[in-house]
Amino acid sequence: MNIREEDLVNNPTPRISVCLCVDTSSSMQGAPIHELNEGIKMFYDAVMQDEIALYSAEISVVTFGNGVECIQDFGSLERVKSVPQLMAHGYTPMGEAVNLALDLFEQRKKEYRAKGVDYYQPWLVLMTDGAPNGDANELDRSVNRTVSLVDGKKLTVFPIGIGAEADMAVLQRFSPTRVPLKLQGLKFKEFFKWLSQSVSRTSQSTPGEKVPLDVEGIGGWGEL
Amino acid sequence: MWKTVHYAVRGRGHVAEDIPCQDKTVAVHKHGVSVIALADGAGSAKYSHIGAQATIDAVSSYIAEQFDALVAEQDGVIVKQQLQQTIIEALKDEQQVLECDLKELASTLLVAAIKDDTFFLLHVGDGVIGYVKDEQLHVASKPSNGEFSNSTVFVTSSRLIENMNLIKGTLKASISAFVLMSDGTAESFYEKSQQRLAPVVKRLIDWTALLTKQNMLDIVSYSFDHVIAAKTLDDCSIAIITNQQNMVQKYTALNMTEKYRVLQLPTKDSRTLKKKVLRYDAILRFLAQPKTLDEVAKEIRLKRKHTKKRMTILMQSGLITQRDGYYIAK
Repeated sequence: MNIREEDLVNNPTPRISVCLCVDTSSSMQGAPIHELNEGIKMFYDAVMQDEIALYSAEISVVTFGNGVECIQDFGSLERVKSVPQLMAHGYTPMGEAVNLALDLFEQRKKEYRAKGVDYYQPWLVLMTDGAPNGDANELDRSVNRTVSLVDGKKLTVFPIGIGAEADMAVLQRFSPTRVPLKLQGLKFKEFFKWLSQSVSRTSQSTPGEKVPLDVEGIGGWGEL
Repeated sequence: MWKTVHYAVRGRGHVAEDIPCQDKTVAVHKHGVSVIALADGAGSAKYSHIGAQATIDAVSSYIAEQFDALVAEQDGVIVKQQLQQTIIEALKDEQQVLECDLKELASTLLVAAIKDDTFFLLHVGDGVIGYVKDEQLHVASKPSNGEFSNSTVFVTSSRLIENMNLIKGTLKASISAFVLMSDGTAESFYEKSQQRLAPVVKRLIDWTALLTKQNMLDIVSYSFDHVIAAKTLDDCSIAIITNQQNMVQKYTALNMTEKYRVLQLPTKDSRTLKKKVLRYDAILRFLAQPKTLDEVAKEIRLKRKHTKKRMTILMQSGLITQRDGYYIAK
């Protein structure tokens, strides 16, 4: 006269959407794009090996270089056949890329709501090694949208500058609550390892729990 | 008569991080009022387990003492303000002892209170309140999670008044039970996409009506420790209050093993047990109409004294009542 597992309902795992919005302009050619690809692969591997993050994390990849492209839409890594391989060429339409990323977040949230799937606050990881040179209006629109979402506690942004030429002032415009991080050298792997651990922690969090980011691990970050 | 059962188990996540169970439950019978309450302490609030306990103790006691005045008050905002004041006063006592911020004592809150034919429900935050009407299970109050999965409203929130759900009404002989569950338990018992409770919740409520308090607590504690807690990292808790209506209908739906338990039959011989249970089933069918002891004895072809023993067991199980020399099934 006890309850059995088959008596229980199966609710979908709450999702955390993470968009990697990355600069693939021509200045990323060579070692930077190679290390970025290695870092993304490590991130995918780490998430796939975490039994909770695997079913919770949904990753999308938006690149800005030769135009703006969503090379992977939101979905569980369980269904991903191969890790994206990024190529560097073109210019830096950052505003257009962020607008696309925000559109993808909104669309995904609508789908979650329609299917009764709970979700955590989404994350935008924005990485660039230079300054944006796309449409100025699109850049302003993307900044305004991002800041509005961050201020309304509806989005978390991780702005990351790569190399000496990265425009940290523009990255700061996207991030009213967090100082942008300058990646140490080309330590993409270290960053993506930290990101996968943070995703894992968040996907296990319960109401009222603040998820502290590993401040020592990344330096200069606060709480979600 | 209202029967209750309540239980909380520490989540695997809290065991791993050496955090105490933040889910607290209570059942109170006072001044003719029966109250169950459940609170789920806020995740990383240091003293939320203490806050949760203080909140349910204060609110259940207050509602038991002030039930008539609370349900008579037409202005729901006044009732909410009175409840908020009760909660904050209780938490401030703890705050002084612990020398902490009020938000370190935050929790959700779910309450069901009954007096005579009137009920009163209160819900702040996540978790679910269900009820049984005409033997069908329904949701009375859904989780209030905000947009994101790991956010909800707590009793210490500045937005408590607008986010407190209050429901009152009359039972009208059709509402027979209420169930409170934290979000950890809702993970297993509440289908979010359909916004409905799993059928197993009705079984738990029926068992609460049929079994002794200790028996039911043994079942709930085993099930929660070994099955419910395995499905989530969160603490899991539940509180049930039920009357003893339609007892024979509930009993009839049980399998043979479950019937043994309800009747508390002593022997372990399954063939003898089956024969005994079938005899009890026959008595209950016969008692669909009032009958005397002699009529029952004649029907089941048993001596009077042996029949009387069986009638005593059925009365102790709450399945029949006796009045003016007649027995009848409930």
